[in-house]
Amino acid sequence: MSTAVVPRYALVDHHGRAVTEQDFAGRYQLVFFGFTHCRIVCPAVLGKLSTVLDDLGPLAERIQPIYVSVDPERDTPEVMCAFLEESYPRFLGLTGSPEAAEAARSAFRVYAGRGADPEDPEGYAVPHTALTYLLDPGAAYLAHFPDVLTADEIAARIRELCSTPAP
Amino acid sequence: MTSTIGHPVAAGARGGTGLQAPELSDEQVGHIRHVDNLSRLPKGDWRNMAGPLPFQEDFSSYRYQLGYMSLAMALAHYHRLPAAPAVFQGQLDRLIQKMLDPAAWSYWRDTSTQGGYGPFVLPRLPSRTDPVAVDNIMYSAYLQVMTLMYTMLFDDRKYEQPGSLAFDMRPVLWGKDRHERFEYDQRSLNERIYWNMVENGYLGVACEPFCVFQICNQVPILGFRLHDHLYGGETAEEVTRGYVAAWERFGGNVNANGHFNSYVVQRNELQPKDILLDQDLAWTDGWLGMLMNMWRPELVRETYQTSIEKWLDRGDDGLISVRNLSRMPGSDELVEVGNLGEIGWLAAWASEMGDREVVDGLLGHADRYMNPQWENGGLHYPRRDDTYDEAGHFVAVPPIVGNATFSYARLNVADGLHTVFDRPWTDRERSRPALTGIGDSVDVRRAWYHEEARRLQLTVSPMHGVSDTSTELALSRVWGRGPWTLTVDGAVVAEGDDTTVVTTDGTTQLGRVDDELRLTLHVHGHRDIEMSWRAA
Repeated sequence: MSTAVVPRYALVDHHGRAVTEQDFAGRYQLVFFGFTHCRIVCPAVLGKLSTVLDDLGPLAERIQPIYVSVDPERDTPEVMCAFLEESYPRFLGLTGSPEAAEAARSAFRVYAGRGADPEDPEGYAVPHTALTYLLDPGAAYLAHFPDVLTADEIAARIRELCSTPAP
Repeated sequence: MTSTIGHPVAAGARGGTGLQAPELSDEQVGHIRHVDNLSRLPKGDWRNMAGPLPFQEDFSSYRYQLGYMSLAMALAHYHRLPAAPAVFQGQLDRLIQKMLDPAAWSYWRDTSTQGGYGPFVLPRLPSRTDPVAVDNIMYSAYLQVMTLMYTMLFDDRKYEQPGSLAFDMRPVLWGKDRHERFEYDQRSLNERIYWNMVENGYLGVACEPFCVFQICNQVPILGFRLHDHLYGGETAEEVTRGYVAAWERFGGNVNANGHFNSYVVQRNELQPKDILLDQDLAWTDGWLGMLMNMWRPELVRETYQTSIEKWLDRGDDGLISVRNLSRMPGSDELVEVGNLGEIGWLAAWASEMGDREVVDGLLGHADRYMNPQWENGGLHYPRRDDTYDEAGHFVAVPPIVGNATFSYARLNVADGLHTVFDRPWTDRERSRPALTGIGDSVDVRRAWYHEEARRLQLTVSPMHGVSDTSTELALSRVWGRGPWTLTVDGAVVAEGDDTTVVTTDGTTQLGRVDDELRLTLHVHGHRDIEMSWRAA
């Protein structure tokens, strides 16, 4: 499965720097979309992907893990920075204007809605797709991993996909 | 009776003790023959399939008839006649070709523009011709499943070829330089549907824009399962997990009354919120139940227990009709109620549940009041648009019922679709001895290979309306298995091994032609042909 996803983004990282997918050329990118208020899906996937990166050993040095917000109105760079550096320090958070975030979501064909949050009547939840994308060193789509895969399975697939030497 | 393929089927079994595969009834072979007849009609000839509602909008649209006739035949091959690809391969291929006919999909150029459904006023959209690119799961998923099922059953890879699924819009009055063409194959089609599913958060892909029905989104789940089976992956598991979670946001798949939720109208520029249609509907229960049993058998069985009786109208004579008849919103001036085919969907659901009493009651009603007809050896129930006859009996027969869903109910077995979903065929099933060629005037009543007994068991008969005929049978995958014996009606007619063929009765014509053993047979009444190999 390939041509359906053309991964392009122009966002701001959690240090406040403007970035695009081309800024990581030469490295693989492991990209996951979510939002910092997420209580179940994001913590589970980010934890699983952190385990994957630990398991990959030196190969992980060739991979840039990226967490893209589908809730840019609440996920400012500062919020992203605090969230990730405390619990998932391998990840670089990306956010931006609602339009830029929407364009990135659409490019990756990620679903994100907005609905009531029963545990936070004043706030809202953003149900979203729990796919993890792997981009090649040229920032092109290489593969995606559904939530049903275990950390071991994802690590094995990344090893296989990254077995060719980096350009 | 024991069998090595599919579920054992008690109904129709004939003969004495020991291994005896079930034999199809006159009605069952009649349904198979009717679908075969329809599949052979020339391009543009949709006789017996045209319905009263124009624009291919209702449940008797050609795409649904082709889709459910295909599923019925696939179930019949898998469960009833697994050793008879000769009966089904050409037929299922021809149905796919009909599905690619513009008459089956060109409606999308109009339907894609939306405007409203029932009480909902919906945005107008630009016209789109490509029928599988976005939305329209009510067409794309059926084509997806038809092609992947064909590959699974026959290991014929023709629909893997690039451009093998092409949509050509080339009206002659557009001139020689203007046309539209969209090319896919079964893998790129599957990919397209998958990403549409992902992009919509696994709630499902819309039929007409903004309208996501549970029913039509069961079909791609079967497609993903078959694709995973053929090419690897875990798409079906991913999608079903996401699907359950997505519908939880609307209270789940079943409403408070114990009936299936029907569909969601998704938010749009004219409607700020998603709206769930949770009305109790007989057609939704029957249609969704027959499909969803594939992957949620516990929920479907529970729903069946609590809801089926609500829709059944039981007579004192054991016959069963249906209640809660409806029609497409906005079609009041065009069709009567009952046109949505409730009786067929409920019969098909009951067949999947293995509820023989309900299946027999509904089909018994059909046989008494719905004018069953034999035509060219095929059995069908001709279209009738009235809901009730003068005596008050329910008689409405939309083409989806008369051609497809009654066939489905009569040929399916308990958990039939669930079993196909759970255990698609592999090379193991596809490499067994089988009937791969037979004359047009002969019906196949039985076709099983008993693996433990090393015996291929066939029964044939003249098609309905023909008293006697002759035919050539081609048996394949029969060499390399050691010494064998061939009997006709219990009498030995030939023996041989991997290299020799010796007739023993002096009259039977048979011989090896390439990889086939060909046998010429006079057929009068039912004739049993058995080929058995000595134990290894």
